[in-house]
Amino acid sequence: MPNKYPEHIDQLDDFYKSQLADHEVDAPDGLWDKINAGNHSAKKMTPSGLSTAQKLIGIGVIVLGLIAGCYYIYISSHPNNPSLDNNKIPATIEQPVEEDTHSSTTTKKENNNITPSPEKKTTNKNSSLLKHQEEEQQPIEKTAEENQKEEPTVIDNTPKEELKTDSTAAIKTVPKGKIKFKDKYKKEYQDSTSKIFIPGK
Amino acid sequence: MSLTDELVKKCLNKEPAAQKELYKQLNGKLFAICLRYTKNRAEAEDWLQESFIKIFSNLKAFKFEGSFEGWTRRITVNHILSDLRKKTKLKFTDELEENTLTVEEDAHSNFSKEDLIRFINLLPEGKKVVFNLYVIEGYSHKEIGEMLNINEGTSRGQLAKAREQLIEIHKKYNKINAEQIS
Repeated sequence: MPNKYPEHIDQLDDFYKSQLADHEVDAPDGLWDKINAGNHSAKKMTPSGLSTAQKLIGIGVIVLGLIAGCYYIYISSHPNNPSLDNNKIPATIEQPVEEDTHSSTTTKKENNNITPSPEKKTTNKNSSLLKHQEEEQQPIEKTAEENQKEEPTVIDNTPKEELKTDSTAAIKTVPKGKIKFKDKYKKEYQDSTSKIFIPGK
Repeated sequence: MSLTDELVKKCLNKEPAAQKELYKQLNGKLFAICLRYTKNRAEAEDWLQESFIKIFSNLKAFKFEGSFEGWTRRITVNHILSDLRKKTKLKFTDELEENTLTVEEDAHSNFSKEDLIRFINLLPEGKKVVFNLYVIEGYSHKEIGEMLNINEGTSRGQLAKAREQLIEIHKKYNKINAEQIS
């Protein structure tokens, strides 16, 4: 319905309000489909604004990042890790600590059999290190034999890292009187030692 | 309980038919609100779409205490104001919009509702918003001041200037109309 415009400014508010307060304009066709689609996508979203799939992807990325970070820290804290450089041969070859001298001679033989593989080229420096280690092992055998003759031997169970620094400490001699056992083993030990022939006594 | 309230309860249970029925009941009134705040029809459609999505996603917040239509109108108006703030269109200047006032061939000294909406959209953005909020939506100057982060005095001043400018637009419209008739 057309309406005449107000004559005075005071009538303006009422005129506009009466005309437009309940005014309706039909929305274009197809808008409901957009609203419906938008409504469904809004339902899928979590309150934080992220969908479940987005959250899972985010968690996956964080976990992968943490794993990569841990691996990097592990690698950087182990600079001698052979996996870093396959061409490098460790400067020291760890020798297993054996109980008797017989086994140490076998290791010596095994060391003699070590030959550079065609895949890995050993440098002169590395081969000289191997020879040096072989030479060092001989006095160990002698001292071990001598020690066995004199006093009972005690196998040292200290970590190998300590042994690296001092190879002669592989077999330690402990004076008999200094061995300390728990009470329940003390008698058993004394019985066993009385039966053993100890050279020099 | 009114029919609308029953419809709202069905919408809360995510019934698609009820949602569509609610849209049918409200889209005309809400679209008319959107058209009063912009002369760009596409922008008004976007506002309507976004407002309905907000209405459906916030239905739980409706307490069934007042009018549901009034609640949806407030959501729509708040959304429009929020969008205008984002686009930094809400400036309180005295300049009129580019005068695009034209008179239809069958127009007389009477105005259709569409004409009135066109007149409102000729006002500067700030005055248009204050005029709409105070005269059509019925908010007080205090409420408008809080909504737009302006003083009550500024709201009053903007409204007074909006009225003056609308009278000027009416006169201009009638002058053009009279010339065309003669």
